[in-house]
Amino acid sequence: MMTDYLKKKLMHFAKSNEFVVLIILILVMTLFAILNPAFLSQRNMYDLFRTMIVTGIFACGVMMIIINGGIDMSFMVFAICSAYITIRIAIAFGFNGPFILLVAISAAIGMLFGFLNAFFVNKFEIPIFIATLSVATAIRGIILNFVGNEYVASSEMPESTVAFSKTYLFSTVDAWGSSYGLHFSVFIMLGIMLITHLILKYTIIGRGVYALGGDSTSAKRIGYNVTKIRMFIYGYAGLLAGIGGLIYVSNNRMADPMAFQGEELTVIAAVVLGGTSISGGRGSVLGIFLGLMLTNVINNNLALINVPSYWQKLTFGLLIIFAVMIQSIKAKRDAKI
Amino acid sequence: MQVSKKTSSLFSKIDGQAKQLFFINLAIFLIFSFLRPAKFLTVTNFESMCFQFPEAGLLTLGIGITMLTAGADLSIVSVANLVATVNGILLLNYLPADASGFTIALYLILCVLIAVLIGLLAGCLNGFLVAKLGIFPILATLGTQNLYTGISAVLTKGQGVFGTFPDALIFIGSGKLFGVLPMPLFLFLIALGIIYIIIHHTPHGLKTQWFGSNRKASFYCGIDNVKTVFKTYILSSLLGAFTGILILARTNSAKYDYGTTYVMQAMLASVLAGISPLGGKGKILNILLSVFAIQMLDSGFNFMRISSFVRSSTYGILLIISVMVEYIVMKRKQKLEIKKAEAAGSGQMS
Repeated sequence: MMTDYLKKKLMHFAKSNEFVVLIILILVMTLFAILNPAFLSQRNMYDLFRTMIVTGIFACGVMMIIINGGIDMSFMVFAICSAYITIRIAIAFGFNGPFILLVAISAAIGMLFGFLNAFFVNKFEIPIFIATLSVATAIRGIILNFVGNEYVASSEMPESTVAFSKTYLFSTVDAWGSSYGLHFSVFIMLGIMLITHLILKYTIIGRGVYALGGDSTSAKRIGYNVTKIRMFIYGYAGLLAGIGGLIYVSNNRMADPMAFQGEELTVIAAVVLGGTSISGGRGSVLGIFLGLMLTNVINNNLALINVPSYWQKLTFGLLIIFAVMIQSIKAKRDAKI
Repeated sequence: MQVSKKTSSLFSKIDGQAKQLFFINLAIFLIFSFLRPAKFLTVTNFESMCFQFPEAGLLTLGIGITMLTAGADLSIVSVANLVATVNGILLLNYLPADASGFTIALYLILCVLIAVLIGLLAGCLNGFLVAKLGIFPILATLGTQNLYTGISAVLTKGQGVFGTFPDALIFIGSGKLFGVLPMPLFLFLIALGIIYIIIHHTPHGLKTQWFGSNRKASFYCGIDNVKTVFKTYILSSLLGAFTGILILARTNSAKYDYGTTYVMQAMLASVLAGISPLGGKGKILNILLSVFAIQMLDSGFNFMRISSFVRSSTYGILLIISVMVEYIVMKRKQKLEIKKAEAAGSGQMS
């Protein structure tokens, strides 16, 4: 039964990019469910949410940068580097404190990295793609060479991170006696999404992000401080990268500095799928949530319907092309100019 | 006396970027010759460099011309890998082991045709997305990159293609023309010449540069922007496709994820060559110098036993520095021009 609220929401969707994504998502999920009913089991749904955690946290920051008019190629490197440095520091000092402190350290390091991006974009007007790509390559190389390039095994990881990785809510026991539940970090992701939504919707700086992406000259003339807004965008993206990285490392119970290599596109694709537009200063948290669901269903559940994993890149590439095509047709950009 | 005058006038004709690149090359050459003379300063080293850098050089040409249109073709390496994979499968699985020279020649011609076909198809898709639909180039080509890589992965079921290839193919990758000129270098020079003529001496090249510097102005000049960009992406995909043959010939293997660092390297080389990532400006011939500088840096680092991590981070740092220098030079030029205009204005006043 459809409640009035949901109906209203859907009516609102019908005019938006999110609506298209929702339709595709429902179609894809129905297809998966028909091919393998186990797809819709509670356990698989919990797993689906779990795979979304880290990418979901990143996506909030990436979305802001894309709204601002560029592609961020650095967040994955920032994430793994700040998490790795944090874990190394924690081990070096024999840290045994609360998990939240580790998150704070990692977030701070990530934010500093983000400011580095902002510095280059603000000061030298370097195209965002080139600035973030080169900053990321430089930082990854430096960290791997000077901090370490060997992974930290679970036995060495700080205790609080291991404890965190075992925090489940709504735990249930299945018919075979093994228990499963919704991981706590899912709620962290949802919290971050809510905060991002509130910032974008109800704060001056959040509106500035859209204004700057729509037309930077107009934004300047209205009186937005472009330098400050960029600092905020890149700092926030870096901060989220730091948080996401540490959660990833904790949940995997292993800090591998080589992780996340060349995986930026999965997140960028989800963000773009969700209707975030590079040219128009548009994008919403709800959209990226749906986009993430879609990419994760396709990326992680191909095995469930007996498709070999080497098909993943192809289906994924098609999905991105399809999504950007729909978006551009919808935006009706004048292709001639 | 006259000779020196001639050379000096020739030297002043060369643009500033080329001079700068020349000195960068000289500096890298001198530094490594000084630090590792026994290994770096040898004929063998320079010969092996001449076999290595053409691959990156061809890809840089491809990314360079798309950067002239203020975009970047990130799918170029995946096009190369797709061509290498398809041709590798063709030669290993369908070429009879006891084939005569004529059959082998036919197969190699078929390989080139396949490369052209794949290059055209990939270029058309890229061009359609970027030029026709107006999708942000980096985004569109990131998508097609995944698609082309995905096709290679599916064709090989995620494995690589290895085996023994016909001698004629191996000659393309590691033979020497007339016993002197390495084949890859020869092919790269030909491609460089062709692209140079296209960009700097044909209407299409001029349109490309105009589009890159101001797409609205070029539109109102009556230039078909869609066609210009479309052609550029086809050209870059074709370059990628030929690189694919070279990769197969040189490494005698093909894998869907080969050379992922090439994109970064090619962008660095393009920017170093003075091609502005914002489009419009750039001299194609400078690419030869910038690619060679990077190759020298690479093999020099190799001899110094500097870790690959530092090497890759050097790429990033160099890229940022070169874009920064470009920005500062541009700002200074603008200031000078404003000053000149002001001086001229005040001169007129009095």
